[in-house]
Amino acid sequence: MTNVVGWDELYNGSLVSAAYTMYDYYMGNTGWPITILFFVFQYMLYIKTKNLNLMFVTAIFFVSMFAVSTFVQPLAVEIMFAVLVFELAGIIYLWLFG
Amino acid sequence: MKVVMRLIIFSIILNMATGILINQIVDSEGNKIFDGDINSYRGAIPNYNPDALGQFETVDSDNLAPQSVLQSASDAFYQLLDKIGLGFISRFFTIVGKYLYGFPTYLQTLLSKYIDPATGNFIFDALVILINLAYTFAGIQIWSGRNLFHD
Repeated sequence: MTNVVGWDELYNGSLVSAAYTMYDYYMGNTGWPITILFFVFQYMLYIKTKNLNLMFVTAIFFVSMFAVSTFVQPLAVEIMFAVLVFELAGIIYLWLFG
Repeated sequence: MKVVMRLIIFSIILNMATGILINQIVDSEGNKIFDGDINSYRGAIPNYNPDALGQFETVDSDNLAPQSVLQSASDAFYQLLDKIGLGFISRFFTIVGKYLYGFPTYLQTLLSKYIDPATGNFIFDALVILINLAYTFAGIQIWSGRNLFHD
C-alpha cells in the first residue's frame, strides 16, 4: 500500500510543494498549475487595477521567484515569457504613443 | 491607415521588448531567466538566430571569375560592384519586409509549438492576407488621398 499523491510532501511539512504535487499530478505532470496561477494573478490585477506597469513589475517578481524554485518547468517559463513580452510592448507603446 | 502604422510600430516595439526581456530580466540569484542556456531549465528560447544574416550572404557569396577568354578581367570588378549594390538593396527590402510582416511571423514563432501545424498555417496565412488587405487600403489612401472606409 502506497501513500496518496502529495502525502509525502504534506507529511514533511511542505504545504506548497504538497499542493503543487497534487494539482500537477492530476493535470498530467506538465507544470500547468503555476502557469494557471500566473494567468489568474495577472487577470485579477488587470480587472482590479487596469495598471499595466503594476502587472509587469509583479509578473517579473513572480517569474523571478518561480525561476529559482525547485518545480520550474520550461513550458511555463516560455508562456510567461510570451505574456511578459506583450505586456512590455504595451507599456512601451503607451509610453511613446499613448 | 492608423491601424497599419500602429501595426508596424507595434512589431518594432515587440522586437525591442523581446530583446529587453532576454537580456535584462534576472532571477533572485542574478541569473538571466530567458537567456536560452541549454544546460538550465530555460531550454528553448534561442538568443541568437544566424538565419538573419542569410539573405545578404546568398547574394554575394558566389566566386567572381572571368567566364570566358572573351571576357576581360575588369568585368569582374564591375560584377563585384553590382553585387554589392544588389546585395544592399536586397538586404534593405528584406529588412523592410521583416518589419511589415514581423507581427504574424512573431506570433507564429511564439505559438506554433502549441498549435496543430495545419491549423497554425491556416491561421497565420489568414493573418498575413488580412495584413496585406490593410496595407493595400493604406497604399490606396496614400496614393489617392481617398479613404475607402469613410470613417
